[in-house]
Amino acid sequence: MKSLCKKTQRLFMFFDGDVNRLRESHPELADHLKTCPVCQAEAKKIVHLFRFASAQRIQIRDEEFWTDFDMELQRKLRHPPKSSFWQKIRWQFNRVFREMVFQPAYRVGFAFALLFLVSYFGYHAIINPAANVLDPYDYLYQSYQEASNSNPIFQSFSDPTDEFIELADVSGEEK
Amino acid sequence: MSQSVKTIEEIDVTDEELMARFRVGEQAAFDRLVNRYRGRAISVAFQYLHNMEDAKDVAQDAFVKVFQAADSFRTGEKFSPWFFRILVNQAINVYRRKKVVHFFSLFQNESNNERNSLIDTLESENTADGAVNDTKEMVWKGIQKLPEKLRHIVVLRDIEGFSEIETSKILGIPQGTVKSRLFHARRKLRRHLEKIL
Repeated sequence: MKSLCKKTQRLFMFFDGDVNRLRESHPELADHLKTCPVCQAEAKKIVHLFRFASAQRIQIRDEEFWTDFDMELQRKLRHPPKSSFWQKIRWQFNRVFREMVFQPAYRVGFAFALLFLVSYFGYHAIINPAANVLDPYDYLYQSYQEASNSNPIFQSFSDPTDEFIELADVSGEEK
Repeated sequence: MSQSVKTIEEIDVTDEELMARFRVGEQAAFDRLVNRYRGRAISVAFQYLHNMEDAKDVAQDAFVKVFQAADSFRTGEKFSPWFFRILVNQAINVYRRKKVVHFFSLFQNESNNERNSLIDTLESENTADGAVNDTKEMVWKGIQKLPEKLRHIVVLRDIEGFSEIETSKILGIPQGTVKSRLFHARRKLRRHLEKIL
């Protein structure tokens, strides 16, 4: 059901069945609608959709119904339904924990997480960019190279690979 | 009291003014608010609950809450989103409670039948044509197939005609979320109703 016009998607977001309103909010989309047959067909369907949806609205014109409604409401206003013990407990729980504990805790947690991410990636990107390599073997190899070049103890050792090659020469094996 | 009702009805006062008057102690202002909002309140509640008795109860309870919590209504705030937020929260609570009960109930189609009979009786003068009824039924089923979050948006925005800002205030979600959910809901609904569109 892919549409041939890319703007049809935007039409679904901003068109509520009234072209004048669309012209006010998104004039470029309204101009496009004038010329594009694909969007015109889609707009017609949206208008139908709106008409059907708004037809679901219920209107009660029965006077008796409203008289009963008003009388019952007056009765409820005079004797409002008392909330049960558990309802009160739940209300208190929501008020105390959700509003005063959970929500601030979420905010503080989010702030800490953000601070951690910024400091972690900031450190690796600015202060120590070498650690920010994608391949960990590359990083280890680089560290080994740096250490072996700068450290005199490392330089005093002979390379074990050379020794192996020498041994291979003596035994007559291939290099 | 009837005299004060008359004076209020004569002047075209805003909801917020009525609320301010009610807070001062004018009962007639509250009655006027009830008269203004009861129809739409029942309609919105019915879209959530699909049962007229429950919708009536929820609408009345919302008005009782307005009556009791009038002091928490802040000056400068719009009445309509505040009221419908109370109503929708109430309706969602009742709906969730009913959903658990319905899960264990054998009479799953009761609400649908009730809606059909309600449409037949209340709107018979408008819907003499059988094809229109069928279409309404299909749209109704299409809306019911939507996930709960998307259905809330369709009910408020497309059926009840609230603006995006009002919908976001009523549901307590950002306006961008309303837009994106509406987009997904309409696309899904369109897919459900491909045959009739």
